[in-house]
Amino acid sequence: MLGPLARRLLVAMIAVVIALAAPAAQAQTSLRVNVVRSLAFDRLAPGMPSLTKGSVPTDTGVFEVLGPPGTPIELWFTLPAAFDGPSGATLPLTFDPSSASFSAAQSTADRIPFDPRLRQQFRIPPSGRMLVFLAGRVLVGADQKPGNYRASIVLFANQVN
Amino acid sequence: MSTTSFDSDHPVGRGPARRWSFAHTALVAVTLLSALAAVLWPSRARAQGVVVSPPTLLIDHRVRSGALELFNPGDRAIEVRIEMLFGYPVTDSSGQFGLETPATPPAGMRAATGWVEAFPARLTIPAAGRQTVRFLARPPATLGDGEHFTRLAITSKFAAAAAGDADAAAIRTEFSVEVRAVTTLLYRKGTVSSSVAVANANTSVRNDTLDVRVDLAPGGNAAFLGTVTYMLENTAGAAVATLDQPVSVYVPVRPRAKLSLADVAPGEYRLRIRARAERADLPAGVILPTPAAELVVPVRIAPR
Repeated sequence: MLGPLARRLLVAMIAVVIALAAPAAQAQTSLRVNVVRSLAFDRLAPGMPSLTKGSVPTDTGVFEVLGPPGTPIELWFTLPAAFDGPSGATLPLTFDPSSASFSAAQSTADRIPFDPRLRQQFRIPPSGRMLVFLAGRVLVGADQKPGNYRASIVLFANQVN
Repeated sequence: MSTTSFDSDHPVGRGPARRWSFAHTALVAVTLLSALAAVLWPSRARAQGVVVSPPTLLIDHRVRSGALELFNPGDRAIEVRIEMLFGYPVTDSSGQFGLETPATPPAGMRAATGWVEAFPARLTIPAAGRQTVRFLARPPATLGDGEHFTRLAITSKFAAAAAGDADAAAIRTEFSVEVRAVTTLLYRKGTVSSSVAVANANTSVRNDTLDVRVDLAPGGNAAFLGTVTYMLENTAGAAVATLDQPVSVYVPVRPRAKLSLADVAPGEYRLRIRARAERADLPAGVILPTPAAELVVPVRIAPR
C-alpha cells in the first residue's frame, strides 16, 4: 500500500505523537494545577469606584486541576486582603463566599460556587480534568496613589490518599 | 528515473496510484496531528504546574534515599519549594475524605516527617526543564518495622502576572500565584503488612441514589491503599449498579458512597462491598499484597 518513504514518514509521526503524548498522559497520574489565566484588572484609575458603583471586579482567574479520575482532593485558597503599593499604600481586595466556583465539565456554563477560603472536597472527574474559577473585587480610592501594587494568591491542592 | 516513491508497488509515473498514496499519507498525518493536538491541548495552559514523578515516592530502609523527578512543561521558569508535612486522610461527619494535618503527629502514628530531608528543598526549574530532587532519610535507631510516612508539599511559584496601564500615573496591579500540591512519601522498614476490615454498613435510598456509609479499619503496620467496590446485585447475582472508590486507610474511616439507581427497578437486592489492594493511579510496588475484605448487606429498593 505505502512506499518505504511514506512508511518511514508515518512511523516517524507516530513516534513523535507517542513521545509528545507521554508527558501529557503521565501528568494524569499525579495531581497537578495549571494557571490557565491569572486574576487581573484591565485598567485601574483613581476614582473608579464612582464609575463602577463601589468596586472593580477582577477578570476571572482560571485554574486547571489534573489528576487520576476518582481521586479525592481538597482545594482552597489563601487570599490577600489588599494589594501592597508604593510608600505603604494599599488597594483593598474583597472575596466573598461565592467568589470561587468549579466545573467538572470543563465549561463556564455549569459552575458550582464555593467559598475559596474553606477547604472543599472534590473528586477528579472521569475526564481527569476540572476547572476552578476565582474572581474578586478591588476598591480604588478617589486619591489612590499611582504605581505598582502587588498581591499573592496561594492555591492549596491536597491529594487525599 | 528517480527511485523516490510513495508506493513501491506502483512505479513513479503511475499517476492515480501515486496520488492516492499522497492523499492517504496526508490523511493519516492530519489524523495523527489532530490526535496530538487533542492530547496536548489541555496542558497548554498559560502557566503550567510542575509534573511530579512518581506520584508517590517509596523509600526502602535498606537504601534510605529516593528521588523525585520534577518536570516543568511550561514556557517559563518555575520556583519550587519542597516541605515535609504530616497528614493522613480522615472522613468527616458527612463521609467526605479530607487530609488531617496536625502540627504534631499523634502518638502511635508512624510519622517520617521529622527525619526525611529534600535536596535541594528550593530550586528553580527552567522552561521545559527537569530536575531531580533527592530525599535522604535519617531515621532514629529505634525505628520499628513498618511503613512510615510523610506528605511532600510541593509549592510552585509562578511569575507575577502584570496588568494595567503603562502610564506612570496609572495604577498597575500584579498577582503572583503559588500552587501547593501535596503528595506522599512512604518509608518501609523490615516486615511490612497491611489489612483492612469492612464493617457496619448503613444504606438509605434517596430519590435515585443509594447512599452507603461503611467502616474501614486498617490493620498491620502499613496503610491500606486500595479500592472499595460497591456492587448492587439482584437476586440472580447480576450487578445492576457499581461504584469504585479509591481509598487510603491510615486510620479508621467511614466514607460515603453514592450509587445511581436511575436504571434500577424496585425490589430486593444485596450490596456487596469489597475492599481490595488495587489502585490504578499508584505505581507498582506501592500497593502491598493484602487479602480482600468483603461485606454483603441486603438492600430493599422501594417503588419511587
